[in-house]
Amino acid sequence: MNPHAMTAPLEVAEPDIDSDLGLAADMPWVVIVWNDPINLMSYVTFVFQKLFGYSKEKATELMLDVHHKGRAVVSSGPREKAEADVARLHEHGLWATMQKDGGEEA
Amino acid sequence: MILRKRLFIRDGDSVAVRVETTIRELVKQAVEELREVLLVDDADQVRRLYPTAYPDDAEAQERFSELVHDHLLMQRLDDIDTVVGSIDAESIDLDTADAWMSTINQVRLVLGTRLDVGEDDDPIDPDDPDAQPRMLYQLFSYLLDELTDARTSFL
Repeated sequence: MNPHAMTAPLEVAEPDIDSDLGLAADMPWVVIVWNDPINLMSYVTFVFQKLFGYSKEKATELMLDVHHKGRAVVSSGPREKAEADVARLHEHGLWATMQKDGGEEA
Repeated sequence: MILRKRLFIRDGDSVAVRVETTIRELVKQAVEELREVLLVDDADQVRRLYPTAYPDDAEAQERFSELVHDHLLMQRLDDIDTVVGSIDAESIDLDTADAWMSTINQVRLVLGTRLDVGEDDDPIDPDDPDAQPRMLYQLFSYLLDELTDARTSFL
């Protein structure tokens, strides 16, 4: 918490409608799939196509990102959607986590 | 040495299963063992089946686990029943094929975690005390790859 907020004038605490109620409020979570030595490349590509309706090309690109970079963001959305996506990825044996968009360290 | 023959092939609306009886028997055994592993639910053995959704938020993770764990368990036990029930089938529909894929991959996840496998399909040293489970793991990788190929043609 910002200690100065206690003494800030009331007007300043009001939300800035332009910057706070945009996309960030609607799409604050990202789903990340991590590389693991067990899941097959063909299978991971298939799961991305099946679960998210991605084209073979898009699914392959994401799979290669996971393989070479260690992880890839595969979907994003409100928290409930992200949780549902993570659960479906876990159901298919993929190693998926979720976090607030922008919280990912480069 | 496994001969690279097509084990699963798309046949109209279903998948033809061309797996020989001895391999079907291995699949059945491994899948029955998976059922036991799932029911015992030992954290070390099943950790790859229930990954952490929130690595940095223990409270959110606990809530997520409560929502998801039992649902996944029931789904997996159902899938095992489906695989065992169709173990001798010459042809399986898409839902059954999905149950086979999911279950075979779970066997690989449990076995691969136990064996601490790497990315590469290294040749197996016959003197390795784990030679047999390593062969089983590679066989299941082959089965899943074949099934994925056949199943992808429906997308």
